[in-house]
Amino acid sequence: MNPLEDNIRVLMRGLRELRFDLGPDDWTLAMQALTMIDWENEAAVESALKTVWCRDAHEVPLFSAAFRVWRDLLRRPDAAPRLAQDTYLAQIAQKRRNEQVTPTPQWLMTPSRQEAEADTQELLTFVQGASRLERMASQRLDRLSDEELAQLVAWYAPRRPLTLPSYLPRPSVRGRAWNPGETMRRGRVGSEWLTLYFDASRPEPMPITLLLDMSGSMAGFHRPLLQFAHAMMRHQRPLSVFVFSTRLADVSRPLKLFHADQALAEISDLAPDCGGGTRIADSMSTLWYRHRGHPVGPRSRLVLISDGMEVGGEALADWLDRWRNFLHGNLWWWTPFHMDWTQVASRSLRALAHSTRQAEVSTFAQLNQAWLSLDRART
Amino acid sequence: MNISMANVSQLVSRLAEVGYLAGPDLAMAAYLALRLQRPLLLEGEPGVGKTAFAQAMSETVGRPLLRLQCYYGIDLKSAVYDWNYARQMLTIRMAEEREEGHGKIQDVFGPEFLIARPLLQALTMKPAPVLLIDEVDRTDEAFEALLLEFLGEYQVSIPESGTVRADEIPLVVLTSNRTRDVHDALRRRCLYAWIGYPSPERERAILARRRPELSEQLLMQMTAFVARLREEPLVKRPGLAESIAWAEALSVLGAKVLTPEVVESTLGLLLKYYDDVEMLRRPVGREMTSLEQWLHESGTGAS
Repeated sequence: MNPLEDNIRVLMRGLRELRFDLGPDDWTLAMQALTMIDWENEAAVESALKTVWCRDAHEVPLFSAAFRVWRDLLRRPDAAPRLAQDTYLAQIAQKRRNEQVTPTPQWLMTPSRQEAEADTQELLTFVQGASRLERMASQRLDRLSDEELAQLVAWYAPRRPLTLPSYLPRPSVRGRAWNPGETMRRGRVGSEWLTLYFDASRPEPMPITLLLDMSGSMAGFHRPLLQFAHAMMRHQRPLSVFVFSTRLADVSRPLKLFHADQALAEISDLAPDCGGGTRIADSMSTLWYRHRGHPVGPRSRLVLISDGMEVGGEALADWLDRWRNFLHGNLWWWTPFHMDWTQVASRSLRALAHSTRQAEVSTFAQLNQAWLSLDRART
Repeated sequence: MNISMANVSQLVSRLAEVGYLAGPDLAMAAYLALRLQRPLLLEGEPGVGKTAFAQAMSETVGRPLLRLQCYYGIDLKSAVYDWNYARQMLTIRMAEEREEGHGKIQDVFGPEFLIARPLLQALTMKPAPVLLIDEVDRTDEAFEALLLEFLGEYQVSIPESGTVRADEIPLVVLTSNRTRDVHDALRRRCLYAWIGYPSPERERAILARRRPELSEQLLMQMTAFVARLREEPLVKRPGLAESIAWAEALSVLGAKVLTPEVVESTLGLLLKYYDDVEMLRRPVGREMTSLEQWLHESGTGAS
């Protein structure tokens, strides 16, 4: 084998470790591309490989960094190709290890048995006569165990995904305006009877984005809320979930894992700042610049789940207004704490109360109700 | 597309001849797209020259440019082909008048009843054109799926009449502003290039080429100020298109040097949101606005 090919194969393996989706076709394409350029020109090789192997804007800087590491290793006089390959892969493995920070104990903390028993006793007297599921559904979210929440999610699972009418009309057998093209196309086959087709709006899955506060003041609510989001991910196809404390992290991909425990463990790796301060405005700003359009489109529903205790809060009102205008008013604020909306004192709470639609989600029943109300409260 | 292009440098120089200064990555991507006969997906912020690149490539290779502007809801009938229903109905009616049998009705799906839209035109046109599929991120997933066959095999299947294949492969350029993530299946079929904001030096060269009457000092001030603006968290950062429009405005106004008054009066060409304009007018000190401070920081000397 050509030594250059051997070395490029090392680069390709390293890129695969960095989660580049590269297959045999990409290898063939890269070899074809390299035959058309000057192999001696390092910049040309980098540009050519970048063109055929990168598929996303995020991959471009990652590729450049990996290429530099690979090139420097090849230039080391003491490094045999095999050593270079091993070192390269070891560096990548180390990089990945560093990205995964140990979960915060507070994040995984569950109430002690004594506390849980005491709470159960206290609530039993309050909800006397209710069924077990009703009792659990009206219990505070932070007092529910994982098993109880799993039972509630299974019991209250929505029958159908939330929908909204399509923006543009689609062909249908009912409607106002006749669609001659569709009528002719579908009338080609079958009997002499011609079915008329019309233009009508059709229900489409509703895109929803959850923005979950994982700061210290929300401790105890992270896990049940994420478990709820994990369950909804299987019912609501265009659902995106972001978490934030001091910085924003997209956790939609791990939430698609089948097992909730595995999903939550991966999320704890992705959000190492869990339990820190609350920066809602910064997170909304990041969401605006990185994710506006996709996945948060103008027809999306954006739900901020937070206690609203923003540090400072000067910029929050601006960002809330900006998002509310972009989403045509479809901006929600769910809080797990009971709040008198007329008596809010802090600047951030005032801004949230002014710019959003509010709902209290301290219990599972309220959470489920708030979720279903996203469908009913159409604009 | 059968175009003789010896190497990347030749392509860069020919693009420069038609007024497009391509960066090394973009030039390499375009060269490989020509040689490997693969579609080219260009992504980048709005106004950095993605559409202009397709137009420049069209001029460079001397082929016509076909443009398909994408939007939410675009479908087969708007992008690939449609049947001429009025003509079909007239034909059927005339056949009935002539008392011909129903067997003739099958003929109403012949090529003479077909209305070719840009994708089909790109396959049948000779010589093969440059096809620009602009802002593909604005379409829906159904249309992306429709594009897969075209981009992968350079063919279109028409159920009524058969498959149309390209004799000569057209150069296909897709652009996206990343308002929505394009599906991996579509990305796999394309070569990829990211076009970022140009460096001040490259931007200055582009502006000098477009507006040679502007002085070197003014161009340096302009590009430094625009680069400073792009560092700020604006709702819409000014792209290269905005810089060119600004340069044209300053040329018309006869500006020789960048002053706060000149910038203030032409700010609408750079910034497109009231929030951003307001940010620049916000006072930061006792007697300075953000605009004046940034002008000062960008080395114009104005205060």
